[in-house]
Amino acid sequence: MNDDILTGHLQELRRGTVVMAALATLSRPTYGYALLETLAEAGFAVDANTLYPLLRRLEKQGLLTSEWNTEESRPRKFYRVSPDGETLLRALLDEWRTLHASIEGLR
Amino acid sequence: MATHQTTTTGRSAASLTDRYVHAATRGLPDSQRDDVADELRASIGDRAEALQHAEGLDAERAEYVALEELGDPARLAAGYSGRALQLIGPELYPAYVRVLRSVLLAAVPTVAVVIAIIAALDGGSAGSILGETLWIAATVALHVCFWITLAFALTERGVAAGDVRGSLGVQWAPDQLPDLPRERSGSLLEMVSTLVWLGLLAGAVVWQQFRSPLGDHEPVLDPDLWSFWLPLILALILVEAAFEVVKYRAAGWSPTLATVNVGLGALFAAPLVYLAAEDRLLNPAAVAEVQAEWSGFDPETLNAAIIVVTLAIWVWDGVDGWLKTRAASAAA
Repeated sequence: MNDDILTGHLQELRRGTVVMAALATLSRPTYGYALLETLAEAGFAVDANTLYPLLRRLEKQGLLTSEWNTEESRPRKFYRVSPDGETLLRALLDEWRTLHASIEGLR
Repeated sequence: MATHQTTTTGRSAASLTDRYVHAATRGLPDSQRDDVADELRASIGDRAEALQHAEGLDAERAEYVALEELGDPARLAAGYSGRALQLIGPELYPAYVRVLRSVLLAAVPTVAVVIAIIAALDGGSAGSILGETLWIAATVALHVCFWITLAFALTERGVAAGDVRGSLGVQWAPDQLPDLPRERSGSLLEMVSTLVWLGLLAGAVVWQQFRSPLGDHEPVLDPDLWSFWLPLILALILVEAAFEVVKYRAAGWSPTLATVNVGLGALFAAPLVYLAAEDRLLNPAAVAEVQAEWSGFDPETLNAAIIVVTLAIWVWDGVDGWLKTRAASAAA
């Protein structure tokens, strides 16, 4: 199996987990670029042009709250997970664990 | 929100970032635009700063690379606004192809035949008739492609009302499944080619009256026949065309259709054979024209040939129908 196939399938597998990773990270208020770096370090390489609109979408769905912080060198928008977002994260994690258990059972 | 920048050069000295942010947020509603723009500007600044520290780039180069990484602002704008980045997506594509194919097959040959007949009535050489027919058929095909694509692109963007979605066949149902191709049954090619041939035949009957190549446009067939016989033949051509459509819709040949086919053939052949036998078919003036050019021309021979060819075509067509019927029932 060549590396392209492996990379492709891993990307496919991670695609749905970016939302989980973002919700999990945002228990602490974080701004867009910092979140991008944090996720990349944790192995969730996501493109900036995917992540920034995604944060907006999650906020629109009431899963994140945001606040402008103007104390730093440049004004930044900090996102934080909302109670609804935490509920969703728990549901996603439950599903994640269930899937993992199912697949282990199938092997 | 307009910002007036006074610069020494007199030209807008907006930075690359400003231009990028403007391009990415242009399509957003006013209520969101400034907020998204401010955040995007900060994110670009953050990334450029990180590049300066990590890669040792100068400020200008870092800004350039940061924007390059972000990619086409149109993609980002689509992400913010939730617009589709495709004309017709995978959800609609199968229905799009289905509708396009069926409309093209229905519209283009029909229009081509009608135009060919009208062009023949107007007169003109065979070349000009063919040219006009092809040109208009191509135009119709282009229009069909354009309007159907537009309808589906609008549907993709969620602006099509429910009844439009329904009429476009977007919701697939098992009823839409095509029949299995049966051996030589309901051949579309057979129908279209026969219809085109019948159209040409009807066109020829009309064309010879107005644009005959003989003499001073002397009709080949006796003009007196227009009082009854020629309209009857044109009507029979229409009946033949209708029969062809019925046969296609009925998914091919059956004993009933084969019988009807023989009967229709007889109806079609009878007037021709009768008129030729009575020497009433040809226009005497046209015969005189030909004889002036070629003294050996004998209308009797031509009448005999017409009778033989007509009967041969009738027999061949009738037998062909029965053979196809047998093949179809054997395959079923």
